[in-house]
Amino acid sequence: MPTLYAKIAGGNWSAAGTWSTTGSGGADNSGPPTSANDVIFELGSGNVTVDVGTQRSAKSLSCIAGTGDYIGILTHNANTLVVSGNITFSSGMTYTAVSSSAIIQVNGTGTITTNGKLIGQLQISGVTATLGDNLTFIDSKTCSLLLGTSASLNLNGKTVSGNSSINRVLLNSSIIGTAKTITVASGTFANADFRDITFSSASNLDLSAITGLSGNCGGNSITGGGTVLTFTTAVDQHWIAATGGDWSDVTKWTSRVPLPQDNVYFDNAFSASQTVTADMPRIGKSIDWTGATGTPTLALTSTGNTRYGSLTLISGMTLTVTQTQTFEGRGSFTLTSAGKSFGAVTVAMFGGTLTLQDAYTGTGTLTLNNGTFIDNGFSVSITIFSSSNSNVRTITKTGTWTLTSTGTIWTTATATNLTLSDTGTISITDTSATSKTFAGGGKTYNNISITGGGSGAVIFTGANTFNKITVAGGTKTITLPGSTTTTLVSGDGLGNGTNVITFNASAGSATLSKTSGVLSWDYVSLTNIPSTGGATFYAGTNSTDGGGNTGWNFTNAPPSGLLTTKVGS
Amino acid sequence: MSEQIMVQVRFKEKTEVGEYNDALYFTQAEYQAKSQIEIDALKQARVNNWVNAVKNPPVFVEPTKTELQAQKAELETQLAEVNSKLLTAKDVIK
Repeated sequence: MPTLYAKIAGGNWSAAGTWSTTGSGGADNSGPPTSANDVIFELGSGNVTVDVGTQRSAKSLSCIAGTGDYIGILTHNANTLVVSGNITFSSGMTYTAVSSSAIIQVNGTGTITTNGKLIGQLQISGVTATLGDNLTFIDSKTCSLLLGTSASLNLNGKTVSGNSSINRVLLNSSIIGTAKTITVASGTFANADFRDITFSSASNLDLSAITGLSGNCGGNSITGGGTVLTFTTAVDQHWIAATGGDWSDVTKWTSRVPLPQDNVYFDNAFSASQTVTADMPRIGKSIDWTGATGTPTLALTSTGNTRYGSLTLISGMTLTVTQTQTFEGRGSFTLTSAGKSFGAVTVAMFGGTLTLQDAYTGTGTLTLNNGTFIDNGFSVSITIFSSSNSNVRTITKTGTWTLTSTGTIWTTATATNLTLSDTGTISITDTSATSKTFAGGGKTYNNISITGGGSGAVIFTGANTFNKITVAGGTKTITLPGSTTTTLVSGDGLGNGTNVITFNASAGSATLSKTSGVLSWDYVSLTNIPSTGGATFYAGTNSTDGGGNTGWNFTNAPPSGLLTTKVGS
Repeated sequence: MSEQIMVQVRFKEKTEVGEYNDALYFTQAEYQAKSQIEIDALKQARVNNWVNAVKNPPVFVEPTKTELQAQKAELETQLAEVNSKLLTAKDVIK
């Protein structure tokens, strides 16, 4: 494939007219560069914008070839520029990464030479990338250097720098708990946080001595001869002002804006009507508001926030949340909500545990990506619960979880490496006309409580086992998974009184299994719900046989203590 | 910093939308300063808030044009991230 030159007029990266095969003054190419084209910005090339949309590609990118060094402006909007080889910026050009979402991804072995230009985000995927000179990031709180699958970085004696001691760059693995290697090779860092990085270094590495600060987000180690890896020493940080302000305001803290390893305390007296805005993406280890007075407000509204420990709120404060809150601690930590309501919360605590200290209420999705979540017997009220992945995780559930939304309200559809210990209740409360899907992933649940009323069905997927299902308050349609067996342990009634509960199959037949004893229902309408197992199934005299219900008796169960015989329909 | 010893008041109450389990926490000084009536009022406030949250979950509101434009920008950012992840996934498949 031919080399493509950025033309004199410049333009958007995605436009065919921005490129030529014969030089910056040549005729238009038939399309923008692909991963097969080497791309050259030469002296005559105009200003080019990496425009948004599908990702942009090049085999290699050089701004020092052709008729002379490029002196134009390369603007990188919020999009990914994928380069499969070397990247070389010229000293006289301008490279403007508009934000940390201006991503340069390197997916072919190559050398990155930025000539002092500031990068928004660098991703390395599947290869070892080597620094040709020092690499520095823009003045943003969310810059990162992400090492993807099978990726590594060779510093080659160069320095990776965040923009400041507050706006540090995060060097991390794309998979929590799976470390990626950075070969230090006489290189170093400045103002950087690290998560799941294995440093290959012949000698011990003292990251407490780098320019600025080093943050430890967990999962970091050293190999290659060095045995001691040291980060900036953790220091408790107290909010020392009576006024509110931004989390990133160093003047409000004991000695610095908290690092991921610093515990954070709000144990001061606030003046009236003060708000602390958490504008840092990584806000510290454990955050504790115990002792704060003056009824302050914590605003989690600026950016998504990750803490690496516990969170303790107090009754005498206000919480406003619009951004996703993430827990990434790798030890045993707690969450005390103090009656405050969260939005979306993600638990990504590799090898760690988050234990509730009181009831939890959220108006967004509670997501468990890694680690253990223990409700500790407290009530959990959320719109949706999601834990559909293959990471190692445990749910210990002894309280009542109330799911208030519609759509897929529970998903553990991919239940690989998920341990579920459930002695509590899951309550599905929505009574609208919209369906609710419980994608149980074939796990064993205790009790399911469904609020009756509304035409929206409750749809189960997965070969799940339930101790008991109850429906109260109105009629309801329950759809069981077709070609799949759902198992019930208890034979108790549905608790539906005279409200008819309709059971049907998502496709074909949905088998209901109970291994022994008697299942005693009434006021149900069954269609394509064959029964199996050693139990005797009574649908009740007030129930309707819609067909396809082998193994059911449409009579009442005999009083307990009497012998029963399985008749079958 | 030494950990502060807190008094936990654990409580549960049956409500129209199910049983509610929660806990209040006080420093020892706070606890000693509170009457049982005050503590009961705090409990009841928690119960009422929870019942309200369950009975009135977030409702969908049609977004404004400005909000849609902000969403578009956010989605473009997410698209960039997804494209990157796609490439990472392709690496795994290779």
